[in-house]
Amino acid sequence: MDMQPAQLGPAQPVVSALRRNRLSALVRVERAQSVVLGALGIGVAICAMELVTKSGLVESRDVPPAFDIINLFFANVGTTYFWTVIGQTMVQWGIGFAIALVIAIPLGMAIGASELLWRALRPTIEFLRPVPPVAFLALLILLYGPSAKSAIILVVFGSMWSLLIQAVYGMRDRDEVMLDTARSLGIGSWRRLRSVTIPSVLPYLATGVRLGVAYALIGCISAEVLIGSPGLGKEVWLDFENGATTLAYSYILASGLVGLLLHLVSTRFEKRYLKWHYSQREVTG
Amino acid sequence: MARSPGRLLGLSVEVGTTAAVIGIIWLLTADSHSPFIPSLPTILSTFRSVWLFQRFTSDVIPSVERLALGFFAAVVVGVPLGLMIGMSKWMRMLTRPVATFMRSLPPPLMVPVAISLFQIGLVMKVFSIAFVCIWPIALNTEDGYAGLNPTILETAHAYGLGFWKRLFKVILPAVSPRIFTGLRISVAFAVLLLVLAEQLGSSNGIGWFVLYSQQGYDVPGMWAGILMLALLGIGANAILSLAERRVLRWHFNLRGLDV
Repeated sequence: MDMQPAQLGPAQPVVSALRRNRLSALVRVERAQSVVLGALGIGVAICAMELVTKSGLVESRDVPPAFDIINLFFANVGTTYFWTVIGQTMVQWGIGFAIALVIAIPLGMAIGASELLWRALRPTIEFLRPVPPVAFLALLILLYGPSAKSAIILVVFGSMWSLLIQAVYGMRDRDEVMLDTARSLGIGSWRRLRSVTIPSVLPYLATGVRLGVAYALIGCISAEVLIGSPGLGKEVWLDFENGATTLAYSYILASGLVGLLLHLVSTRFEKRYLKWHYSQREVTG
Repeated sequence: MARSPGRLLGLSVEVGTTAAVIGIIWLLTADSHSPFIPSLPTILSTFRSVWLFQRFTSDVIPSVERLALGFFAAVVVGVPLGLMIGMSKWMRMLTRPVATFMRSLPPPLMVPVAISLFQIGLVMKVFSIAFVCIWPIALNTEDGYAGLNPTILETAHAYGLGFWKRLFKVILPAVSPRIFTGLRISVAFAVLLLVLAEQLGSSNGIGWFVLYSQQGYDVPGMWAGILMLALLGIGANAILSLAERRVLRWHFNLRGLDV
């Protein structure tokens, strides 16, 4: 619903402003509904879990009551140990993801820029992409043992492909006519990069980032659970080993919240750039 | 500029570079002194002696079975769940935060959870695969259903189609592209969970074999296992995209995209 005030009569903006108000009121009601219902859903889920354990359907040794988990979670939040564990995971995630960004995006853009290079490397890339990074866990144990390094390497391998492929797709989706026009207008290669290439690659990269963020966390936690790299995964594994089931579940809750936070941030980031993309598409038809 | 190289030229570029990549790996590993990276011929000959067919029935088949069971369970639960939620706006609002949280739970953590719930065994592996794969399938099905053009559903109603007919002839085909999106995400998760579950609690399977070889310092064996896991991942993906092309042929044709 975009307005073009310059071409409309004086009364027009007032009317559409009114309409927009009513629309935004509707949106607000809908949003309030979804918040209330969503909260209700969370409440129902927690109570259901509580009931399942309290009624003896499942042994509380196996699945602790939901309120116990939540209580322990909040008790833990005050401790430095809790934040150290989360910090370990986040540092490994961050370093690995940064390395993946620096390697995969320029590489993908270079490959995508040349038809010849893409055709040449495509079979190799398509072959390697579905290979599960966790297949290399055993090798990482031999090479680096239960260290942060193992986790970082797995993060890089986990998130690299989606970034690389999206960078390639973005480069290949550039408008040739626009590039040629820019070229024939004598626009320098630096400005061409800035005003043609980057805007058309960015939406693709945003999708790559959203996927990569999730795969990076999966790689990190896999290394922590299996190899014993420091962080949330190791904590959960050790708590189960020690029979501290409630503690294990409280750290699972924490991991879920970390995952949720990363998911929300990255989808917002993606939406921002995709919105631009689609509106642009509509104009050009 | 090789903007549109001839068919033959393009093919030879693809094959040539791929062969060159393999050749480079071959040369790089040929005189490798690292105890952890054997030469390519050593890996390949170990691969042949391990998997053809000494350990095929004892390890490959159980792995494939677990993968298929877990994935199948996720589809059987996830698609109806997604349709049920997608049918009503209220249901969507009610379940959205819980489902989003479930999807955000890091999948590897489901393996220790499953071990604590079911002990080590088939159920634990199938459960951990299924539990993780359900959410992408359900959420994509739900989104697909909610995004359907209402005219389609109203037309089906107007023609007096019964519930089952509507479901199988109208709704499922219309939602199937989105279901496949969910399946594609899930299949990667399924392989991941299988490998983790077999390494954390199993006494056979490809994942177990990799860890077992590593613990016995049988490095070529470990690499043979890694290669097999790679092939498993590639195979699972290939089967799914084959199925997708068959089922969604009408869809791609409709959109005028070449398959």
